[in-house]
Amino acid sequence: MARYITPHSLAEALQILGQEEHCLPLAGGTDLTLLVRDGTVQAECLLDISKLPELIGVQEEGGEIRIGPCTTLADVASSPLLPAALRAGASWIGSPQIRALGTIGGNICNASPCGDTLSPLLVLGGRFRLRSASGEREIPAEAFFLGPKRTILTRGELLVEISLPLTRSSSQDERRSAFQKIGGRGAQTIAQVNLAISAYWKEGILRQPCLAVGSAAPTPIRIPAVERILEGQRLDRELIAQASLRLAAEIRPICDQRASDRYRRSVVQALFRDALASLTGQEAYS
Amino acid sequence: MKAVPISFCLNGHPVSTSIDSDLRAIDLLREGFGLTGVKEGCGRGECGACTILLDGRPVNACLLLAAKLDGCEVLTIEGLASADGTLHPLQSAFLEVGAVQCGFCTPGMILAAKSLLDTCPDPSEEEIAYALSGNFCRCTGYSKIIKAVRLAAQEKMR
Ligand SMILES: Cc1cc2nc3c(=O)[nH]c(=O)nc-3n(C[C@H](O)[C@H](O)[C@H](O)COP(=O)(O)OP(=O)(O)OC[C@H]3O[C@@H](n4cnc5c(N)ncnc54)[C@H](O)[C@@H]3O)c2cc1C
Ligand code: FES
Ligand code: FES
Repeated sequence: MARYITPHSLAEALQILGQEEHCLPLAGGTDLTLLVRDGTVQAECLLDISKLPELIGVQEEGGEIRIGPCTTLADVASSPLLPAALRAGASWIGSPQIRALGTIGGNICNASPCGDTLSPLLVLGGRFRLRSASGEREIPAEAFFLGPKRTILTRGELLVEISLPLTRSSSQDERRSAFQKIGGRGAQTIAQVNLAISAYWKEGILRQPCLAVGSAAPTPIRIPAVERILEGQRLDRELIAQASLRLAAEIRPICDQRASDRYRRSVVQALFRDALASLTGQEAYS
Repeated sequence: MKAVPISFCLNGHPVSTSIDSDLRAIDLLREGFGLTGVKEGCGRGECGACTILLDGRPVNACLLLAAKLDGCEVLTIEGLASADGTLHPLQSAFLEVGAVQCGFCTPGMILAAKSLLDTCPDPSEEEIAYALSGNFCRCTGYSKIIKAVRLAAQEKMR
C-alpha cells in the first residue's frame, strides 16, 4: 500500500517528489483516487499537495492573473478576476461535489481531451509554470498536452502556477470570452464536445479571435483556420455559416461510446454559434 | 499496519484514529464510526448518495480518501439535528412535504441543500436545482425535494 505524505511547504513537496521513485502528486483526488484503488495506477507514495497555501488562490499580479493549481473548480467558477470562458468551463464540470474537491491543476494534469478548463485556457493565452527540485520552466498551455492522459511533465515536476495575460487595454477594449459544452445531460456529464472562444469585439467585428475545441481530437486543439476566417470581418450570417462549415471540417473527432464522429461534427457547429452569441451578447445566431 | 494518523472534528466532536492510506472516507465513516447515513450508491462520484459536508462544502465520500479528513470539520446526516433531537428545518420540511420515498438519496440531498442554504439563504428554484445537480433520486421526481428546500429556506428566515 502506498505511503501517504502531507508536505508542509512546496519546497518540501518538490524535494520528496525528486527523491522518491514512484510518488504521485494528489490534489482533490476526484480522478486519482479510483485509479489508485482499482490498481490502474501504481504508486508507492501519494503526495497530498492540496493544502499547500503556495498552490491555492487567484491573484492579479505583474500584469497577469495567477491561479494556484490547487484552487478548487468551485473557486475558479466563482472568481470575479477570471475571464468568462474559464469560469464557465469550471462551473460545467461534474457536480457541486466534484467542483468542491476537484482542482484546476488536476483537470490540467489529468490531460483528458474533454477536460472542461482546457479549451478555455488555450484561448485565453494560458501559460503553465512547471517546477522541480532542480529547476523551473514556463510553457504555453498548447505545448503541455501530448495526447490523452499524456503531458510534458517529467518525473519530479509539479505544475505550480497557471497564468493568464490581463486583457484589459487602455482603450477600454476588453477581450471577451465564452464557453459551451454538450454532453448527455445538463449536470454530471463528460463533454462529447466543448468549445471556447475569445476575441476583442467592437462595432460588429471580431479581432484577434482564438477558438479551441475539446473532445474533438486526442488533445484540446486551437482551430487557426476558423480564426483566420473570423479575423477583422463583419460578423454576419454568411460569415458565421462559412466559419461553422470550416470548423466541422477542421476537427478530427474520435468515434467512441459517447458520440459518433458525424454527431460531433454537427453539434460543434451549434456550440460555435451559441458561443459567438454569448461572446457578443446577442440572443442567438441561427 | 495502519500507516496514517488523522484527527478531525466529526459531527461536532474531536476524533483521532489511524487508517490505511487507501481507505475511503465513506468506509471510515460507515464502518469505523457506524455512521450508516452515509450511503453508497455508485461508488464513483456520480449519484451523491454519499455526500458529506467537509468544512461546510458538499463532497462525495466515495471519492475522498479518509486521509484527507485530517484537520477538517466533517458533518454527516447524523450530526444535523440538535443534541436534544430537534430536527433541522430541512429535515422537518422533507417530512412535511413528503420529499422522501425510499430515503436512500435523502441524507445526501439534505446535506447538499444545507450547504446551499448556508451560503444562499433564499435560493430560487434554479439555484436549488443547480445545487442538487450532483444528487440523484430514483423515486420522487425532484419536484417535492425542491419544494422542501424552498420551505426550509422560508422557515429558516422567519
Ligand atoms: C463523477 C465525475 C464527473 C466528472 N465530470 C467532469 C467534467 O464534466 N469535466 C471535466 O473536465 N472533468 C470531469 N471529471 C474529472 C475530474 O473531476 C477533474 O479532472 C478534476 O479537475 C480533477 O482534479 P483533482 O484535483 O481531483 O485531480 P486529482 O485526481 O488529484 O489528480 C489528477 C491527476 O493530476 C495529477 N496532478 C494533480 N495536480 C497536479 C499538479 N499540481 N502538478 C502535477 N500533477 C498534478 C495527479 O497526479 C493525477 O495524475 C469528473 C470526475 C468525476 C468523478
Ligand atoms: S456513492 Fe458516492 S457519489 Fe455515488
Ligand atoms: S427517495 Fe428513493 S432515491 Fe430518492
